[in-house]
Amino acid sequence: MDSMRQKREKKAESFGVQRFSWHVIFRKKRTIAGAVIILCFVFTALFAPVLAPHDPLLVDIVNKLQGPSPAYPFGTDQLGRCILSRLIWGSRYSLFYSSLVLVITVAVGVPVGMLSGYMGGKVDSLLMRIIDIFMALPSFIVALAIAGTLGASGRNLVLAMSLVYWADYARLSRTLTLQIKEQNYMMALKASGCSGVSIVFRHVLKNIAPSVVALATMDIGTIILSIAGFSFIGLGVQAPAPEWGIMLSDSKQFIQTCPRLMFFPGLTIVLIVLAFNLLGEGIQDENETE
Amino acid sequence: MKSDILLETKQLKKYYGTVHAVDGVSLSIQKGQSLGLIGESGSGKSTFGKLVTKLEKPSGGEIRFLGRSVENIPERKFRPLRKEIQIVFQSSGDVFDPCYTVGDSIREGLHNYTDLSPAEIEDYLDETFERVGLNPALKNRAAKQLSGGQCQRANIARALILHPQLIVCDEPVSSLDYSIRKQMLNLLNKIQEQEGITYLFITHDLSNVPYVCKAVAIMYHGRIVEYLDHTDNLGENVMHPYSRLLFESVPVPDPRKRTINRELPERVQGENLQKGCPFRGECPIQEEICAETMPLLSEEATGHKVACHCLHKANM
Repeated sequence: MDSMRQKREKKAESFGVQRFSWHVIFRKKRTIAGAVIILCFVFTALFAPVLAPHDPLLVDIVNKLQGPSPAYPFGTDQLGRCILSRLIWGSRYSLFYSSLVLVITVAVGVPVGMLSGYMGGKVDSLLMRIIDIFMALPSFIVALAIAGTLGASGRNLVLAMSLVYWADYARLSRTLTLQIKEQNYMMALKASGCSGVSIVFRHVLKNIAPSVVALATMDIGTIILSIAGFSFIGLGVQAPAPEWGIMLSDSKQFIQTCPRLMFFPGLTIVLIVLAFNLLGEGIQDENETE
Repeated sequence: MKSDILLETKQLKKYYGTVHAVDGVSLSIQKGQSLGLIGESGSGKSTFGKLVTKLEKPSGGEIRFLGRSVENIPERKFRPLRKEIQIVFQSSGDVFDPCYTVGDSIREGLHNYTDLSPAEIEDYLDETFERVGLNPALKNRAAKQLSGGQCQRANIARALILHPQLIVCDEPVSSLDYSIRKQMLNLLNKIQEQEGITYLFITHDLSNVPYVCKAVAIMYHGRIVEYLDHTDNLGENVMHPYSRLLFESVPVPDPRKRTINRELPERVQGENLQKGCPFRGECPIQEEICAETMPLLSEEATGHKVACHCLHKANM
């Protein structure tokens, strides 16, 4: 009896208004796996000072290029720094910078896209041309230009990437807004006296949110990769910061003698990008099956 | 009395490219005189409903609502007037935002026009739900969790909750099955009597009209072809050949009483519609003049206007 009731209640829940309910998204094991890995990384980043066994910047030349040992689980690098500690502190850079890029691009791109789609006409044409210009910019060139003029740093890398990526969100939001504008309930909202602002921010935004979240989760993996990539070639975060891309870059001369130096940061990057892709795909699948 | 006129349109036009959806419609609706607007699919009747509620922009002509000329005022200035003119849409399920409950959607109108406290809004919402025959507990459901009839009641509740003077009902019952249709029409009638709300009742189903309306306009290809200020014995009183055809087309269960025996000829299409009577292709009584001049509405009897050149033949 009891389990019957629970089942019924569960069914009623899944039938609710929220098209974006968590337990629908986490139906698949892959999605859960992705989310768990991401949560582990977030946890690591938050508690880096507690979790890291050593100071990530502490140079100890005597102990350089040591293999794994109880004191240094992943060994030490060419300057004797603890690789595990550097990886743990490095998660802060990756997660912080990628979230920052994402927040900026969504906060700029989505309102611009909704405005463009909702207003239509000349406003739409103008905004779309601007969006086209930004979409035509290759992120690499922009990063190079900004690093050249403002200097290479994590902050400038965020600026460069936001400058390029917001246009994607603007374009997506515009397309979705155009679709939603054709729905009958838009007319009904207008008839019951809703202002344009309320229609856009209460109704359009809520309807396009699942798609935007899906794109954002898929994108964050790419952004993490780009940050590591730009840092690798020296356009992003600067050494001696324990950033994963820098760790890769620093260790490339030891690829023959001590491949371990490259292996661990590489594996970490693969793991987190994979996790975000799993979660992103899970969300997108659920949006489509709706 | 002039002050009793709620809504008046003069030569109202809406063109979509070369398609003349509404082509010079002049109608007026008086308080308490619900008007039925009848026409086949594509005759422009729904477009007319959207024009007078300012959900579509007219291409020309005038709309006067409550004595104010509203066809060119911006949405910001029209918004206070929206409270007085509400619309009930045909398709009921998709007129509620799927992200919100039905109650949320209906509350929104109250938020926009009143400054009631949340508790008062809740009371009022429950009361309105009961007035349209809905269980107030349904307000916490999404539209897709309601049946067609419940949805349409919620739809009426949304229009009703603002206490408008005029409700445009755009095919309010055509998506419902017959047993529920009757209930809905009774409900609309009850609301009309109790609250003094006037309807612009847009439908293709002639049988609905005498039920709810006190006047009738028949529309063909964006034009009014006939107007009657009463609805008694509609089938016998209409004079325009198109109106006659409409009434003869109502399916009759008894095959011996069926009256249409002739094949319907080709309709007039394309640019020829702009010249002469648009109905001439199908018209059994046409003359040469019908292909040349557009017939205008003229008063044939008191309160009865018809747009036809050949009425003398029709009444034989």
